[in-house]
Amino acid sequence: MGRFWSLLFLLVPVIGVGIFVVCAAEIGIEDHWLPENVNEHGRVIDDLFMFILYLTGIIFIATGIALFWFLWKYDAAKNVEPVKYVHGSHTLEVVWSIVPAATLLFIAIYQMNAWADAKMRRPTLPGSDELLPPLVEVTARQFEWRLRYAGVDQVMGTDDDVFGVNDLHIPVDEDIVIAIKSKDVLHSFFLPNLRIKQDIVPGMKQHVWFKSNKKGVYDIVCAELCGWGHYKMKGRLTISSRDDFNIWLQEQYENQEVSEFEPEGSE
Amino acid sequence: MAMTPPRYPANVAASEKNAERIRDSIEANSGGPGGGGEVLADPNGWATITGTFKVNGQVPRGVVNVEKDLEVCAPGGQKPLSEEAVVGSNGELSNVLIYMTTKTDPENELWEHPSYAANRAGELEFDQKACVFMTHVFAMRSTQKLKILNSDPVGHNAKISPDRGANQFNETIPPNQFAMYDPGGESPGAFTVECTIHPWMRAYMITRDNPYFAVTDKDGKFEIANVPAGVELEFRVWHEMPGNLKQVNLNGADTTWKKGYFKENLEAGSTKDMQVVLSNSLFGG
Amino acid sequence: MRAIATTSAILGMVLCVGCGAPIAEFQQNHVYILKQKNELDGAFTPQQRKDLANVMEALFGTPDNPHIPQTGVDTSSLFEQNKLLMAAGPYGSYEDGRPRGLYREHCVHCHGVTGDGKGPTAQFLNPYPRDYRLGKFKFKSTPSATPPTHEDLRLILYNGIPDTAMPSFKLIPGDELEALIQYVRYLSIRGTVERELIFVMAEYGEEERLFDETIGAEQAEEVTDVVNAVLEDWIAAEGASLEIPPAPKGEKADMIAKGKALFYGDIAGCVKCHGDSALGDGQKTDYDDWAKDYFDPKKPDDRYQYIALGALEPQNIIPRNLRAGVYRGGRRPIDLYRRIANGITGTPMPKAPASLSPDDIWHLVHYVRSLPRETTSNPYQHVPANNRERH
Repeated sequence: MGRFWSLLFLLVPVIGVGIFVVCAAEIGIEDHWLPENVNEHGRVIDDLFMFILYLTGIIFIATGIALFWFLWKYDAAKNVEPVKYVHGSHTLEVVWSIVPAATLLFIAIYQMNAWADAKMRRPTLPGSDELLPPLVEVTARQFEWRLRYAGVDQVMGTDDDVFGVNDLHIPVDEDIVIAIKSKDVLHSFFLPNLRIKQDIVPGMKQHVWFKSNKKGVYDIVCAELCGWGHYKMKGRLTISSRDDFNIWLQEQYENQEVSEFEPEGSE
Repeated sequence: MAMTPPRYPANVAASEKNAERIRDSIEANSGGPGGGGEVLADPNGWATITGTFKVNGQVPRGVVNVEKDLEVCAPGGQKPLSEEAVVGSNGELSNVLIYMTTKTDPENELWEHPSYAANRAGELEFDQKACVFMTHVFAMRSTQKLKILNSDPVGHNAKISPDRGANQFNETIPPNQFAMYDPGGESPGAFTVECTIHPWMRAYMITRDNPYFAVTDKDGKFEIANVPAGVELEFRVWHEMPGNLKQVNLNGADTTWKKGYFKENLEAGSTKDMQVVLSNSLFGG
Repeated sequence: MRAIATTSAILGMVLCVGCGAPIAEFQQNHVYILKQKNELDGAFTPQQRKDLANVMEALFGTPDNPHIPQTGVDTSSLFEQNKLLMAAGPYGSYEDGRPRGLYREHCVHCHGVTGDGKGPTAQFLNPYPRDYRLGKFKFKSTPSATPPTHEDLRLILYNGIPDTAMPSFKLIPGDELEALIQYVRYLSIRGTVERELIFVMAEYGEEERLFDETIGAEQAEEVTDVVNAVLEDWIAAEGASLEIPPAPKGEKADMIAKGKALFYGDIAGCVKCHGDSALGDGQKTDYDDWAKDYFDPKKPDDRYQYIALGALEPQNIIPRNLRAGVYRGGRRPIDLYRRIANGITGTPMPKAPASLSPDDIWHLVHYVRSLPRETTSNPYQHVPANNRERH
């Protein structure tokens, strides 16, 4: 019975790796790996992810096999020698403390640039040190994403601001800054296809930024449990050319400014 | 804030079989000509109904809580008295509404005395002063128009809220201006008129197709002249506080008016006098 | 042996929990029945209440199987059966792939199966979700108590109502949105018909019945008259939107100044409720029509009997804070024009006096739209001394 359990434990690394391979290589299954990435900086994040995945994957497989081997070799049914008491190995303990610590330190330093690009180095206006003003202010509230575009004058809080809900449009191939706020509780602004995720803390002024490189329609999701409607707090992100974006924004502005109404004659 | 979910009482379930049967019957009968209303006999003349309403015992009268525009609504610090139960020194009860509920044929001239034909399409006035509606219970015909005045130096609005029959209305009335209200139909009972700017202001109104209605004055007296005689008429009696008046002492005898209705069949040329005494327990006494 | 016992225990538990749900039922309007009992001495015997339930199911069907009343009025402009079926029923889909149970998926937890605004979530909200059964809606283009048009309902669903719990359904497909609009209409018409039938029954003695075994044409007529009156109201609403003349041309600042004069003047009377500060603090003690349906502010203790039947604790309705820049019924100029020119049905907000011309109302609209930009509306936000600028 004993060796059966060691084989069972071996199944864990085998099936675990198997699932990752099947999903990543899309063997007989689709859309089960990372969502499509359309953010220029997203490649860096994905590369980091894969690097850590491989690193931890190798260690996972190694420890899995080691566990199996010890379970198999020292199975009680097959070992009649008495147990040898060992006082431990100081060298072994030093090695397996320092190596992981060094690895972690390496990862921490290796990712600093990616972190800084995503969280600290907000894009500036071309040719100057001035920070790029936000294109749109996204206010998360239970359970929707309220939007306010700065409008043509690029200043938030003026008469040409365009208001919307859940339907975010962004021009492609441009540095975009989004200001994020919360009206009530913690939310998290998550754009899966842009690899952008930022917890929104009520009262805190935060920005996210990115440069997308492909047009299309993608999701906005809330990634911080915010109440009973968290599961359906979805929005739609539409990335289009700058011209199409301008046309769309103008349309929204005109809809917002409708100043006359004639009722339809009853048919 | 109560945190228990709203509890529904046990629901009344429909029987699917019965519902099917009813549906077939309703839809088979729809679109066809109506069965026609009950055919009433013709009246043979005119009579008069008069009376007095009194309350037996003391009735408290409170003061209205005025919170806004105090210079106009509580001049000299005097807050207006509540009008929920206005009882005179000898028990005279004002603001009792008596109205005829018999369904009449509007084309049949024998049901409407010529003296009422003139006021069919009239224009009546309804005023407010010192943040009080000047007529607390106002009855009018559904064919008349109402000019709602504002004789105060502050703005008021008239929110008229019939549940059914007459038009709903809510319009601001600037100082010394007026608004026009067209009822457009008959209401089966009295409904509220309020000012939402001064929410303590409330009056009641009813709009009727027929002209046979009255409201008791400050002496508790009313008169409805020239009601059709020789046919059974049904009237309903209502007061703001108890609602429809059911337990009354009519001309010395304790009587029950079921759901507030009383029936009369009057001889042509006669006058029916109703001396009604009510218990003060109906008015918070 | 133990393995068999454990396995069967687990299997048994799974089977007992099961996956069925109770069949949804329309709740009879208990609160309105009690109100008619109190005011009109309605008898409402158990037999009469069963009759009412039977007639309502005959006319409108059940939450799983809606029925469009065939009472002689052409309802094709109001409902289509296939759309109602998409909204009705339990969540899922039909064999042809059409969705089912859209109302239960999106709306029921606030608005309730009967459309009475008393779903499980309702008690936690301020303002409460709409009770469709009165047939009154706040944000529409039609005046007074006229029902909303199709476009009015569509805009509410499409944009949601900012500042409340009503979300935007902009992202659901167009035909699903259409199904929800028609189902809301269906519930509203059903609720209004039920109220009217209850009123008719309040005058009955103990023995009279709304519908019994010996059905005559006259009895059917009484019921169909009620239904048709409501249906015709809704059909007529489509052409009843207020016509809004174009805004006058002129200097923006000029028009805003004129609007300000009107806002603070005696004729429009805005400050009486919205306050001299325009923060909505001029009036805090009033209630909306949905609360006043069973609650009389002059007799507050009478409300407990209705709360025991499922009515919600009445909440005050507060005038809008005009400096916040949040407009529940839509922020377009025509939306604001409608709020002022029509008033807001079901609330204390009256319509503008007849002495205000359309240009005057436009000036008020411009002033109201300029309020959130004033410096008074944007107080200086103190920045804590130790706050680090996080890009």
